[in-house]
Amino acid sequence: MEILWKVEDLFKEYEIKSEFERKKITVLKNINLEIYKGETFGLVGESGSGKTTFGKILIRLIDPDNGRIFFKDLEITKMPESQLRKYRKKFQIIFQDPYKSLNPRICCGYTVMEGIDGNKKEKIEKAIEILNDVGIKKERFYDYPHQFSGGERQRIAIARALSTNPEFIVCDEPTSNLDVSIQGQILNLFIDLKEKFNLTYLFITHNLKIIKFIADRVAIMYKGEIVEMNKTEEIFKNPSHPYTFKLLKNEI
Amino acid sequence: MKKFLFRLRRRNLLSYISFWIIIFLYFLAIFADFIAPYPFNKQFRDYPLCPPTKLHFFDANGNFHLRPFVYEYKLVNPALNQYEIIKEKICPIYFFVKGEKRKILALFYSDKYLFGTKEGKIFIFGTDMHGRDIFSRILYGARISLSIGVIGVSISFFLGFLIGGISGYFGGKIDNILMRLVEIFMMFPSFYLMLSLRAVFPLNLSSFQIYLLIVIILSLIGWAGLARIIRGMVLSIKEEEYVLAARALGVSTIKIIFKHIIPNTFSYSITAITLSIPGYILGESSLSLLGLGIQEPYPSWGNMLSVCIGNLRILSTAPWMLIPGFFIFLTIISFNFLGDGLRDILDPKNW
Amino acid sequence: MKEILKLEDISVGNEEVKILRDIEFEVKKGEIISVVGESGCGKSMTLRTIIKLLPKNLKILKGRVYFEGIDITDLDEEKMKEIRGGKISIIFQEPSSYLNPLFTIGNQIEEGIKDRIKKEEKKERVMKILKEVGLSENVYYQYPHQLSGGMQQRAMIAMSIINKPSLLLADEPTTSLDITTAFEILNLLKDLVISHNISIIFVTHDISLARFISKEMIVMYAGIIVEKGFSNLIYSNPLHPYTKKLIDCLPEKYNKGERIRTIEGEVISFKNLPNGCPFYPRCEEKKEICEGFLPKEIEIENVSVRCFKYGDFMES
Repeated sequence: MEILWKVEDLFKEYEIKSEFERKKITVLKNINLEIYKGETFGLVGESGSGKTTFGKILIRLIDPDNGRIFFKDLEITKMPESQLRKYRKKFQIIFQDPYKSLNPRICCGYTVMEGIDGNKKEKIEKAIEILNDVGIKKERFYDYPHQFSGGERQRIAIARALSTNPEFIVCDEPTSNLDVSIQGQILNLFIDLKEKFNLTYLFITHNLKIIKFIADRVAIMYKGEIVEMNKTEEIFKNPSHPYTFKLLKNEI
Repeated sequence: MKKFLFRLRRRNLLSYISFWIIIFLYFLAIFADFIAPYPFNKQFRDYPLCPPTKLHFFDANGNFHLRPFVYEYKLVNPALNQYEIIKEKICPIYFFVKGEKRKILALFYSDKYLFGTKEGKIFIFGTDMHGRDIFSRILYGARISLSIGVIGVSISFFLGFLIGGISGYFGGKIDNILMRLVEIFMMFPSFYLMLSLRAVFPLNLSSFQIYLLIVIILSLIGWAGLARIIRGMVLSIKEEEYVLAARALGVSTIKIIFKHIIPNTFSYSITAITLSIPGYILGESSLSLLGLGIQEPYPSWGNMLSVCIGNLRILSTAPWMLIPGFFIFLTIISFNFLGDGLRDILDPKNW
Repeated sequence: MKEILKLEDISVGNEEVKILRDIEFEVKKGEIISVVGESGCGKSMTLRTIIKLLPKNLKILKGRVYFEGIDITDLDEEKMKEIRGGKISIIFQEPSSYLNPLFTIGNQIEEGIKDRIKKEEKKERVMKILKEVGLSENVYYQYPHQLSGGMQQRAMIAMSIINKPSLLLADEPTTSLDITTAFEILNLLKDLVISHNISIIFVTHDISLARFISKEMIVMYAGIIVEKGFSNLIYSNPLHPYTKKLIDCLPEKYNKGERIRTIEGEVISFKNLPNGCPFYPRCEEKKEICEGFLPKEIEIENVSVRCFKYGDFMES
């Protein structure tokens, strides 16, 4: 299988300044993993485990302190932003809260157009096509984010991510702010789009039911470390780490 | 523009009215040469502190005149500036009357005035102690008082956005250096800074040079506080997820700043802009009031008021000398209301 | 068992819209009852009706609310203030926005105590409560930002039970928490029911969560109760087409590679409710009659349901 991402010894810490001392909090401890092309890689952990930070570091929205990141044999760990911009189109991100991830002053069509190259007419045509793919009607091209429901906003965020023809998308808890009934629609959409555009996902969530449904391989993260990584069925059948065990036990 | 006005009216009627008041005031200022019945420096030596001439339709005998008219006024007691109304002398008001030749809008010469009398004088707001028509002087003064706000705000907001934006977006060392600079500017009490800056420059400047000088002084005072606030907003907005998403799309830094960050500061900055225009008008007034601003005979609302300072007699005998103050008040309150309305309608949620 | 709260035929709205229609249920002493539905189905509004904190433009059109046997529908604001936070308390989805960042947790809980007692006694009581909700005594001196989301929610719960209420309204208290923490909070609520003998109305959009926490549940759609009864019965054998769909779109019901069968269409807005069953436009089992008439409640094996599929619909 072709390796799309390779991460070696990824390390990140934040400094917290309190009244008396400077504390360093380690968010990621020497993460090593590989993501293969065409798979859905699930990353599970509770809040504060560093899973979101990992997603952002992977696509270089945050700089790591240590370690190396390879995208298809190309090292992007220290690549300057100007050079990186060429590759940015290949990997996108979808955030948890669609209320925050869309600019309230830009209408939905323009949000999607931003990632498309070409002249204005081409941009609009392509944006309409992508919005159609995610289930947003053409008539709503000029509507602003606050006019959409939560599920629709998440669809727009997905359309924006798709607009650059990416190979890889980081999905950072994309359904945890949505109603259960909408969650199903969005998950279906992810599966459909994956087939249609031949995508690879890094799916970050704390919800094991979703992971079981969508992921091919899973890494369990606990306090900045990957404690277990395996095929999804394997992990659910025989968990080896006590934390995984606890997670599975707490299923509702 | 039509959409804008419609939204403004629906959202906030008061600010819609204010908008038109401001437009009207600027209209008066631009066409001051044409509308004003007399040049701003024309002195009628026989009419010092003449009260406003009332418009009449009925004469003393109760006859109706279709054309409004004013009575002629005559100074009877020069020591107390007491006037007598000569009821026999009716001076009808005509449109496009002939008068002295003057340049209109610095473009062409004309001897036509919008309105005036053929005989007698018309002083809608009365005259000052040199017998100059206050109405005409208010119109000419509006040119200075109204433009100083807009130009001053443009300069200080340009500086504020630039410095605040750079400081907030790039952070780190640049931020540190720029913010210390801002603090130096904020350190001085603004009024004394204004005075000392003015004192640095020679007093015998031409009136246009003084005007420019005042604009620059005022905007140099105004930008620092603004830069500070813009920086704070940029700092928080650049961490928003939609900015991160735009970065992930590979959008250039310039575009991110102008499309995603600056527009989201509008909720604050538009209000701040309209609210700070009055500050400039008042700043000019206070400089003029102290005799450091626009020099006589050139009028500004501020230096017209300055005559009244320390002269209680004027307040009791010639209250019309305070009319420029009313115009300052009207302008300031209109800008304040307009600011409120603009902030509302620039938010897509209110469309 | 005695009922503690009873809603009788409640309708809420104004001239233009009706947010709630014919809401009728009761809460028994020492029990948890869940209210399930999508966002905008009126479930939070039901809670607000009970404590009479409705938005200004809405009012109770008809029906009665009985609390501990007393009719509180027309109670004046002064007396309602006594009840709110006293006999009835409420916890919310986002604890961080309901805790004041400038005061310590202990301070904020103490402030809520309605009994006039000495300061030392208050502190003692707060310490005891903190222990009960599983927080250490240290938390008394800590500020909200020093606590994790789960601990903040525990602090909120402590605050809400400080006056020994008999009814706790929980408005999606676990939605913003991750599963492990949510699980602990749910267990805490279950324990409270036993130790304090309080009743809880648990509002959620997740039907599996509702089944986990409560014996009985109410399923709401567009302001009406579509199904009501024992959680296990409803979950294993849903009667109303909407409940069926709601259960059908849970991802755990599917294997990898399958598509989730979701509810077609959009949640109906209150502004253009149809005359008949509000679920009619999205329903796959609709009949002609559904369009024109709103079905009455029908009791089938301990579950009451509002759908023309069941019973003799000619009655209505």
